[in-house]
Amino acid sequence: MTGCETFYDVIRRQGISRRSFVKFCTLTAAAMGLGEAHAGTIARALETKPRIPVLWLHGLECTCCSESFIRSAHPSAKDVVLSMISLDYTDTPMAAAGHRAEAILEEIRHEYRGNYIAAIEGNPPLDEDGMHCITGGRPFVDKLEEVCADAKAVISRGSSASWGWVQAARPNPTRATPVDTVVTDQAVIEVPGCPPIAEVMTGVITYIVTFDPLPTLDAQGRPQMFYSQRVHDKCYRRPHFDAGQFAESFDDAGARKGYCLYKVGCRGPTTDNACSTVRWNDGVSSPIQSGHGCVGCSEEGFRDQGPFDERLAHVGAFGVEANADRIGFAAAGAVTARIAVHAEASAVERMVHKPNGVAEDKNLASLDGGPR
Amino acid sequence: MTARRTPNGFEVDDSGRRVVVDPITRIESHRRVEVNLDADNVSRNAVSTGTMWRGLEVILKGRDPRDAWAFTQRICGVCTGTPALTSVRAVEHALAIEIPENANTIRNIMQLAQDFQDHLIHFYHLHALDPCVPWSIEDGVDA
Ligand code: SF4
Repeated sequence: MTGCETFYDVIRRQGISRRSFVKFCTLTAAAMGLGEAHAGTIARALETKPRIPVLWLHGLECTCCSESFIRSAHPSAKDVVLSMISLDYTDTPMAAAGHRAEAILEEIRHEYRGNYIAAIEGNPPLDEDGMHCITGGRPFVDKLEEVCADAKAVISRGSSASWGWVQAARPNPTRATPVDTVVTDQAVIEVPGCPPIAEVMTGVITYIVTFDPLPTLDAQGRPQMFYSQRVHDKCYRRPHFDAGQFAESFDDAGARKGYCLYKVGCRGPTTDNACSTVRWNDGVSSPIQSGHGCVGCSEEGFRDQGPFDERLAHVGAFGVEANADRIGFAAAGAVTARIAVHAEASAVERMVHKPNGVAEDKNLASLDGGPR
Repeated sequence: MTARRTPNGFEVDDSGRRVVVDPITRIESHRRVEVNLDADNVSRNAVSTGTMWRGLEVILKGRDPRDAWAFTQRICGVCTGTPALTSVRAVEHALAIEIPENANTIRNIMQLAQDFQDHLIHFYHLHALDPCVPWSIEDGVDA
């Protein structure tokens, strides 16, 4: 353990120059969508605040959140893991195993009570007293409750932790349950996505380390700065949508011309995420950019709303039971009206959530009475 | 010596020196390994157990086969593309769908790209720590 060292102490010890540190702060401010003026605030915080320990637990999951995390470019996972925080426990890239690993959990819980972050990947199964996920010889749900109880903040990483996800899809054989249903006496920061965008995960951590009060959350408990726009809002195929130009199948002329993927199932219009702007793998591409529609992986209940390659027959967010033809037609004729409908749909959608962050029937299928 | 049968048909016992490492880290999912060492430090019995079950097979039943890839790929997020491609092939096989040669070539390229990144991840992020810092798990001893 590095005790009270600050982020700045650590990077200087690693031989990183002051100049690189300042550049890092500027890039990080930019990555979080803050102006350059905030680079100074970030620098001051990283110079003065002690590195914060993070315990990263894994429940029922597939490790794709960790895989995404290690690909973060700004800030890089290396900067976050080796310097900014002290990632003391994670089932994946951690050297220790067995008793040694479990001992670390205990140590941090006691030495840093109330001062560490619990980052949860995956979720606990509650059936059979939690027997479907055993780690260190006991049910994961026990470990989860213990570690979260003494944490300063709990981050639900990925759609498994946030919504229940693939293992919670019908018929949910293990009764896989979202983290915030089990951890109820703590504010849980939801960072959904399957996996979440790397920069969103590192950005949330940077924000907590820098500004201390937790980031502003939306009605579903997600950090507003990353989840306030729909994939559709900034999609580079959007001009085609507005012009009513759609790919009808994955191999037609429209697909080759890069037309809108709405008719082949794109969920961009009902998905709040930063894929269109931040993109993936250091901004190389995104699912829509590589030719497949958005499947809506960060939205609650998406797993039970297939088939994914079929257009959304009923799009609640459009306010009417519109199909793609009608939407395209209307869009071509009245772009302004569409934007208004969109904004209104947003507001309506927010209203159906309970203010305490528990999402209530957000999804399109549930809005139009479809299956959950 | 007392011996016990696990549900999957293995024998675990308490002979010799019993070493338990649980959790095994740097893998996807959760795993426990038990080994019995004799007086010469030779392992005489070893049992490795997966300690997590999500029931993806159950969840896949009754779904649109076109969506199967999106479920099977979540078996493991480290090598995601492989189960996804395999399930697509399985569905095509079941429905006797023949794909064009170019599609096959594209899939092979995807698979090779996946293999390539997987080897880097496995070596540098996961396995390399074992030969580098073997002492990190060496005292995983139970009685
Ligand atoms: S429907 Fe999908 S592809 Fe079309 S503009 Fe919206 S997000 Fe982009």
